[in-house]
Amino acid sequence: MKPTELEAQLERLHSESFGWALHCCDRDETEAEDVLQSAYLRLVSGKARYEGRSSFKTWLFGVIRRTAQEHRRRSRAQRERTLRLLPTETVEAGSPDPLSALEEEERSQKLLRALAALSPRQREILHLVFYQDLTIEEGAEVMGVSLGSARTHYQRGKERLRTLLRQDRPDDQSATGS
Amino acid sequence: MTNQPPDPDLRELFQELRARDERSVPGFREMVAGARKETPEGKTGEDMEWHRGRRIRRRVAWGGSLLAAAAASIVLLLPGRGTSEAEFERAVRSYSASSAGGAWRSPTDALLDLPGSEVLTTLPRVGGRRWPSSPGGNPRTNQL
Repeated sequence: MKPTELEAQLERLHSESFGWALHCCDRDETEAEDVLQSAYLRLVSGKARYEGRSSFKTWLFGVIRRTAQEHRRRSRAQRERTLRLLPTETVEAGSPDPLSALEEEERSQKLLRALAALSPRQREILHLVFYQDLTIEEGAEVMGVSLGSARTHYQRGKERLRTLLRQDRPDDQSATGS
Repeated sequence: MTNQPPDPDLRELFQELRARDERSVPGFREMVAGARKETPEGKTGEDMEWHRGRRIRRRVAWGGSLLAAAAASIVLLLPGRGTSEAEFERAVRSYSASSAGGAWRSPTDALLDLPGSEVLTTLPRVGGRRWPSSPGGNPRTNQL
């Protein structure tokens, strides 16, 4: 893949890549930026090469995941030295009105609370399928697990997530008595 | 796709989260440019080549310096060591050959000199004639 082609692909998937990096870093934005930056460096410098064995997105997510794992093992001091970048891609046009934005925020917080109660594998596969629109097979590839294992995590995670989301509703809590 | 059931309720929740995350996505160009500038290992293409070339040049320079140092030490030390060794050997030889040269002898060395021990270390003289010194020679035969 030519460098220009590679950069174009990375740019196209940049927003999704950041979302994935955010997930891999337990939603720590600064760490996610560092991880994504390191992953890009690996790709641009040729340390990680795409050989076309899977889809580019799956492969890229695998690189980001590994980079995040390595990053976590390294010292925290390195994080402070890394360039902090200001967000430039802000969603100005078509942003929801304050009330619906508040409701959305509340729903997102609820989802995050419920996700936090799942196992890391369950969280991972649900993120890849529902957030990143990958198939379970692709998710399994990114996670480096078998398809059967990914399916199990997916099914159990989904059931548990629904239960947790139901429990988080104030009216349902009184109904179930929990 | 059979493996991807719709689950619209969950999908919607995740997509809302995604939209929320997209508001804080850092700029791609700035990120790549910043990374290239800040991180030494993040050099691309020509930069990588230049770094690799510099690494090789540095290693060659170090190797050359080490070789030069090793050669210099061989040249400087070996002849001196040869001379001193030769001198030492000569001194030991002369010291052990002659006690008159100031060699030290134990006071009890004389006790080891037993009567007749000189027969074992010297050739006998009979009538002013020396026995043949060849190892295969028979002195008795020669006398007769």
